[in-house]
Amino acid sequence: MREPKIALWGASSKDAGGPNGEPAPLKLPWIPKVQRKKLYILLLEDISVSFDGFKALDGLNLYLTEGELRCVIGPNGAGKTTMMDIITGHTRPTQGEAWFQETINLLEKDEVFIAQAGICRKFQKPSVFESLTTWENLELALKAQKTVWSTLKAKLKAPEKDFLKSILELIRLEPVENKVAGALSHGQKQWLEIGMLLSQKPKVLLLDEPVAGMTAQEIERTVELLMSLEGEHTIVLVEHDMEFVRQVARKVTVLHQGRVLAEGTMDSVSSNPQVVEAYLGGVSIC
Amino acid sequence: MKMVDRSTRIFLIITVTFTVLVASLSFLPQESFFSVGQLTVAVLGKYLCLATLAISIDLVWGYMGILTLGHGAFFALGGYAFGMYLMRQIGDRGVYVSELPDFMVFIGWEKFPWYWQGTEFFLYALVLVFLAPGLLAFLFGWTAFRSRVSGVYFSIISQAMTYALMLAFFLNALGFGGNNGFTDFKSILGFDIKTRGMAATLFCLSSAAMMGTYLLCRYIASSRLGLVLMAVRDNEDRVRFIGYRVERVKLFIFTLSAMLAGLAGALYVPQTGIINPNSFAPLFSIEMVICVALGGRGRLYGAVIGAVLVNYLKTSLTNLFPNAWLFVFGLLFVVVTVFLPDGVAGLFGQIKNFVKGRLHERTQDSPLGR
Repeated sequence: MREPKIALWGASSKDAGGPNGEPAPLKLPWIPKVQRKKLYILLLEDISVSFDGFKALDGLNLYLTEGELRCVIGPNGAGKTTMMDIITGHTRPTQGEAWFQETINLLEKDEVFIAQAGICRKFQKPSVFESLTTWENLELALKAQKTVWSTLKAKLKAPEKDFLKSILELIRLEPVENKVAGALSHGQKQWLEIGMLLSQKPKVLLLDEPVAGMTAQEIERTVELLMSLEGEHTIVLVEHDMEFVRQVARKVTVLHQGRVLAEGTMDSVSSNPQVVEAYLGGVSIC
Repeated sequence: MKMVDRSTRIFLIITVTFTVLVASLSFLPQESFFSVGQLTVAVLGKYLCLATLAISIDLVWGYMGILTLGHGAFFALGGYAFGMYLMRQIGDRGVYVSELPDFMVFIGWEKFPWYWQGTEFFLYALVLVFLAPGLLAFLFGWTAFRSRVSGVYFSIISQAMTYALMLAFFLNALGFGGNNGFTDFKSILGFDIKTRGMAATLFCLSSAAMMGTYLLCRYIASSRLGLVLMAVRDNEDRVRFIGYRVERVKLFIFTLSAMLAGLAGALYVPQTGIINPNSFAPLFSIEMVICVALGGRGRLYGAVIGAVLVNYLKTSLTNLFPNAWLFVFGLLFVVVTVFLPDGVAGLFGQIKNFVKGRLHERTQDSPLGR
């Protein structure tokens, strides 16, 4: 294993110093890598991906501690979805390292292994199984041994039923338990997909724009839902809706051109001139 | 979902009644008004075999969403496997009075090739009925699913597979009788194949095979694996992200389905009295897929309705107007696609939904959730 070139970490190597002499976004004391892996449930270091010469990610670093709720924001094309693709094993980076729970090297595992290990992903477009009912969607996702044979033999036990019921309650879909998912409203589908993630008893939840297309009321409920999950699960939230981010975020990471541009509280990043520049070409983002 | 749900019960009651009725009526003296002729029994038995094939296609296509246009190949392989046994049963009663089948004598072979070894044993032939199609499906599926070939590409490749097999079986040198295939069967397990009792027995066995296939597929469909199949049909990639190995699921179902198709083929051959390379023709596979579509896919009994209905029409129409059948078939397909998107079996559900006015609640009658 190659040590990344950076001595000061927490931001991309390219950012140390900043292009125009601005201060580097974060400077933390250097910790040996073995310690770092222990310290964080998920860490990405120096990850780069290029598609036909276009660098989607360029030396990205991300460190997540267990139980935190992290928002990742950034303009279109900043690499947010590519980052999720790397974590879930959908895309392989050209360089860098990705570790989960100290021992699992994410770059060597496939989507199925990573999903079973406890990193679950909600897609940008709500992707529930439309011809199955709400309940069946949750049952399907339920954490269990997922080989062909054990799936054929699987029967819902009483505690599992209670668990699924508690999820239904949490995502407030009890009234539509037996409705096919295709007939649910857009917001309900989004919640169902979050429910499906919870049903897998995940350690890390990756949520790609969970409130896209929701009404103000639905967003409010989603905020409640996420706040109730904080602490129990580690959550990475990719979002465009700034108002929503402001409501839920403790810590925000701003991506720009495949790198971490800034990290900190919402207030500190939104007042960061570099972020403002990157985001709206100089117009304040909030 | 309980295993023996309402539709399964109704299906079993109808099938058992029908089977017992036909089998017992076939023993009435021929002058009797209610007597069912031996030929009719054989034709009905053939429908049941085709219905079994249709169920196996429905499991793969209706539930898992993989349109296979080559399932006839597995059916034919099962047929050929059992046909080998039937050929060995002829013994030296053939035209050339040789232990070898006539076609082998004809092309100048003096002994059985290695792959004919052991086919004189009934049990081994039975194993082969499942093994040959199963092995082909496993290898074919393994290559296709592993490289994530899906959708229309898979359909085309499966069609190419059955076409390639057809061409291969036309060759005399392959040792399966060339374009004449196997025919002129004499006996099974020493019993004369041309008696009434044998016709009734084969008919009952076909019926049992169909019910067994139905129950097995129903069991799978109502297990959690059944949910996985439907999920694969809806959104394959998403299934991977919740931790199921989609390739293995597909391979398991595809192989199992091919074995069931093989069983159907094995029972079909003694009842038609012939198997030749035309059973590998892509047209046959496509016809069977259309049967499933007409009957209504994704509910199993729809496949049975479709297969019996279409083949009954085929038999009667080809007798009356030999040239009209393909036109009627095409017209039927268009009419059902336009007016009954859920097939004939979906008609019940459509009426029920129309009466009750609930369009979105899924009932037992519309598993596709449309």
